[in-house]
Amino acid sequence: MDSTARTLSDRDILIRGDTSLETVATLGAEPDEAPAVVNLDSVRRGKINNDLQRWIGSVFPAVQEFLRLPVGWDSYNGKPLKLETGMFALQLLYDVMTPQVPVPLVAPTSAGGIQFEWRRDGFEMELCVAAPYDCELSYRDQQTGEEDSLPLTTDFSALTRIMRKLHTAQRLAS
Amino acid sequence: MADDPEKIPNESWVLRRITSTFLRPDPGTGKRRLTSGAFKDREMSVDAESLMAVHGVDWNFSLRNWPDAYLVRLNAGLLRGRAQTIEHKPKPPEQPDNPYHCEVIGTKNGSTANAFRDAAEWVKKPQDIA
Repeated sequence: MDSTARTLSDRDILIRGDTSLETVATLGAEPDEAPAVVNLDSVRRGKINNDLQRWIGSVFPAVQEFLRLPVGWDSYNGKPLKLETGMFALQLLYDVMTPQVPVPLVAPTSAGGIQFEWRRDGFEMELCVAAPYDCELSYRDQQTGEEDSLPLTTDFSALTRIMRKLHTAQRLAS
Repeated sequence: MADDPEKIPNESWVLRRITSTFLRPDPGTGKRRLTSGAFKDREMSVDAESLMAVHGVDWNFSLRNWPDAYLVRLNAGLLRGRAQTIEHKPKPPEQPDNPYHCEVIGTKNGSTANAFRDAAEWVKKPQDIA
């Protein structure tokens, strides 16, 4: 996700029925390559990766819920999740979720974004996706007092690095 | 308009509604908890209790049209301590009956929003919150 990063367009996203989405988001693709395809209908059935069964069951319905939120859902001027933002967030999560990563809490933001939150053994981590390639990673280690918020646009390596801290916190506690 | 610490002093409080969509089930505990997403708007709408008190109005006013929403209270000094300004913006288009409406203006990164979530005091609290 560096020089190959590009903004998703309407051509990248297909809606298949009301429970299945398909994207050709090219998070890791070379410019000349055919785009990577993640068919979420297959994802939901766990055909691509068995670990998906563990988290997609709670994450995907939340994404669907946020896509359908009415304007003003927060009692102010809250906007529904934008489709391309939701798809980008799912792709990001697909890239970082491993069997060691706990299932995140999923929440909308009033501006039409989505965020994932992890809390384990005094370590808190939050990935907020405001739009494709417009993300923020925040974390706080209650034991060391370390905390930071990092913008993520084209280089998402910090996500893997901070995810390791979450693993470490879990291991130390167990 | 600019920050107004005379009408909204640091020791006073502002009120923000929380709809149930901001209360998400935590996969770790199974209980719902308040997400920091409720405090990320760069221009975050609130009602100032100091302005309401002048007219003898209490927190119920903030829920007048949203009886199912919940309500939290945030300290004005805490908000300003996180590089926010509190501007009195009465009667916005979507709330023409609200003379107490203010906006907490400023960038709210994850750390800031988490600080607001942690400091928020429930005025009307859901029963099943973690």
